[in-house]
Amino acid sequence: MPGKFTGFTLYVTLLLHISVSLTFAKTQATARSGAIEGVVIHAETGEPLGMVNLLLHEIDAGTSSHLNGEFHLYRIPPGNYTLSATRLGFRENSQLVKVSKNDTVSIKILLTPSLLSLRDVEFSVENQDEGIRHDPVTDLGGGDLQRELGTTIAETVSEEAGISQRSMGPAPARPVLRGLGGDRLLIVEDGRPTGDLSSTSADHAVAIDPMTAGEIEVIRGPETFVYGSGALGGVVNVKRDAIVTNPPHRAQGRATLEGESVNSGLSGGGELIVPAGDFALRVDGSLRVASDMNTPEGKLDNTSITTLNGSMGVSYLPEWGYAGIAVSGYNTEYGIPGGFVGAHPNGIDIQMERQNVAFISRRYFSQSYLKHVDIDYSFARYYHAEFESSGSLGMEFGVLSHQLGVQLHTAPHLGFSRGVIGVEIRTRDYATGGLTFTPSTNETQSSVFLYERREWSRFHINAAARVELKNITPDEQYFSRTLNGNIEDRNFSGWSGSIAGEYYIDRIHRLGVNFTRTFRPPGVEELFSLGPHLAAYSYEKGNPVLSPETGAGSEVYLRIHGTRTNARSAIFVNYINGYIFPQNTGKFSSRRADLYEYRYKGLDAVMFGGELSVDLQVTDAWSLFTSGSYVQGELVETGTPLPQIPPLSGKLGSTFNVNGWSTTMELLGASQQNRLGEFETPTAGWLRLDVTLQYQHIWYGMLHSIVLASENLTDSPYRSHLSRIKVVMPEPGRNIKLIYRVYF
Amino acid sequence: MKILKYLPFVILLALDIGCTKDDNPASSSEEHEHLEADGVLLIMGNDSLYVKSGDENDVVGSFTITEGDTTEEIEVFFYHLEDDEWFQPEHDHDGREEVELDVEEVDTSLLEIHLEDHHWEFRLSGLTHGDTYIRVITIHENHADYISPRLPVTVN
Repeated sequence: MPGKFTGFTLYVTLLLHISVSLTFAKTQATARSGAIEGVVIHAETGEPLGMVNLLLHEIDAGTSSHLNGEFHLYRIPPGNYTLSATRLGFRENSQLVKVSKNDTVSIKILLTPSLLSLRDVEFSVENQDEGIRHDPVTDLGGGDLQRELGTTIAETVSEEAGISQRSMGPAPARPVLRGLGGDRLLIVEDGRPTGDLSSTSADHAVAIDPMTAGEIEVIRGPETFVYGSGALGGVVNVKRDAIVTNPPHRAQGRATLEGESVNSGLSGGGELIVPAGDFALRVDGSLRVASDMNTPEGKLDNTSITTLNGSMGVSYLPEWGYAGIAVSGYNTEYGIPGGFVGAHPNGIDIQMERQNVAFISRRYFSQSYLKHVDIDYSFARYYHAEFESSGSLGMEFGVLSHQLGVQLHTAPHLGFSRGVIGVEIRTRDYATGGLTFTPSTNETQSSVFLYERREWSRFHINAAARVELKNITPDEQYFSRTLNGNIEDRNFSGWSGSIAGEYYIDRIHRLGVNFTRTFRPPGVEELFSLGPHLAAYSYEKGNPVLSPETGAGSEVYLRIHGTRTNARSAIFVNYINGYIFPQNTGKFSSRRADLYEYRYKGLDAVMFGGELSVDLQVTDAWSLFTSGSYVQGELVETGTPLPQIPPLSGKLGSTFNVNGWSTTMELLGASQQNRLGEFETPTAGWLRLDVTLQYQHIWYGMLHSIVLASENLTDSPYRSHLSRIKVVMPEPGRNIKLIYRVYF
Repeated sequence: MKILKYLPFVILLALDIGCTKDDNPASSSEEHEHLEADGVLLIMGNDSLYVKSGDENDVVGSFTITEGDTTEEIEVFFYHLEDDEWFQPEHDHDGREEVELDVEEVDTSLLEIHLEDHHWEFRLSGLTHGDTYIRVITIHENHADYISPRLPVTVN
């Protein structure tokens, strides 16, 4: 029955009222009275460069240059900023820009052609003031994102060092970073939780289509605690920018068409941003249709995908800041293949939908201690149903989730250049239906966090801490003999945090170390699951007495950003106290003897490994790149390898650039995996050859970009150790992919 | 611009009030009573065969039948772990949500299985000499609530 007030409703209403009142209050708000105007020039020819992406990192405000090279960034609050200019085929140029009140800064940016994602930094590390750029571990955007664009977010980022993908067919893939997946690797869209259930089971897809993503970044270290407390692996932030936060100078957008042969797939999407005085409207949408996937050993039945996705946002962009609201919808139907032990002979069909409403606002202040206040509220309605081939409903999940966050971004104070204090409340109404005995639950999660950054000449420190309270209340409370525990209220509280230090050896080399502690309370699925999970081909049993999982991790890394070299190497160790995972008991369920029984356990585990990635520009027209990563995970007490740990993997490639055409050949591969969790089977090593041809050209005032790629050119059969269906079929066979994207 | 001050507030409040627990899409579907069985007991005259949760799913007992003969009624009971008792579901002849018994032979064709609607019993006819297995299944709303392990049957 709608209209029934809950305690949370009252709480949210009150907070929202305060937040909105604060946003619109006539207080001492800083006028965003500054502006940056300039021109982008080709460093070698002197020609103006259009369609260059310009971004002010500190406030995430961006635009693109006109065909005559000019660009305009309005309504910028006074302060020091890092302005970066990027375009495919050119070296990134970053400049420190100081914006004063009621002042317009004019600058000229020179871009040098380059094959690599190199960076020209036009300020010395010693002179950095508050212009500290956000520096993710992996940042895919523009042409790089277009070249790597896959069916899923996981496929799109899977070639980055340290990242692999868990899969159960092409649709429900999810990234795994350094062997850490599930809730240990958060996936957020525009910084907000997606509200889906992709972290809980291998058959659940991530409810984000990469087609509408503008940029995908992977964040590790202290900054992750702005998003959550348990992300020992990191955070994958898909930047869709559904709500425009900076006044656009003109109508702009992009459109994409993609076709691929491996599944006869066709997809298309687009984005349009229209300015209207103090307002801006943004719409995007995508449609993806793909048939069953081909492999070198034949067609993999029941792997088709149909996805419809879209959003619409309106923003109000006055001088004091911005406020905006966006609605989005995501509908998909996909198949999970069958035909192996424990699987349904004809597979399972899944229908999934997500609707989301988000409201954000930012207000700038002139106080010496406060830069701006951000308010973020979102509501997500998620539903997914799993059907047997007969069409009968196996099980269904429904989640209603609310999230409200308030962040105070502090001005430089007490020697700290940047700080964020935040409060966040999340609730989740979780219900299941169909053939399952998992109780419906309500969850409330409250957090307070602090993030600070400080620089001492060449030495920089980031630190964050987060305190979290979580309550899980099942609708019914009883003792379960089947689960051997009480189905009852569970309350968890704990802290997490991280400190990272970075030393700039010189302008090129950076040496860093970080220490992280995470706190992850068990989820309702881990505590109370009971029933057959047909699409996961398992009979799941929760563990009502599970304790929170705490992680302690450390990493040492070296980064090189030279004029011809871009490199990163890291070694890491993560110790997880009470690592929660569904352990295959090796026996069939007593209720469903066709399904293996999985029981959630919390056992101490350790993971360690390293990564290396090197990009080297040999000549102006030729570059080489390579990367590799390894992780080993085992249970501390027994030394038994953990399940679902990726083997040693890497890639080696070369890019040639001739007359604006860029050709990349790369060899990707992985070693065999013989370190096996209980009841796992080994996976053989493999090699795969990919060739990509990319071309960009400005035509009729628009930037046209074409990618023609052949993945697995030799049609080699290979299997992924993280695929739950590897016994049935190998990974995709030869795939010819054509992606056309136009920016205007 | 004054309306803007309240617009997001009103939209979000309406949304929040409009989405109470009863609107959860998974709880709005029809509720079905599923059979919770953690084991099965078959009784044929003086012979019995059972398997239940907590016993490592080991099957205790076996049936031997004669080639060319049809057995007497084999009665089927299920084990409920929560109540620690054996039971037979009650058939609701008028109800739409009914759990039905199904018995199938695994991989071989040594047996003929005789089932009767709305009865928790069945008979076996031995067709050919040899060892085989059967599974006891309960069907509800077109899917199996319970599937037993392989239960051994010998045809002499």
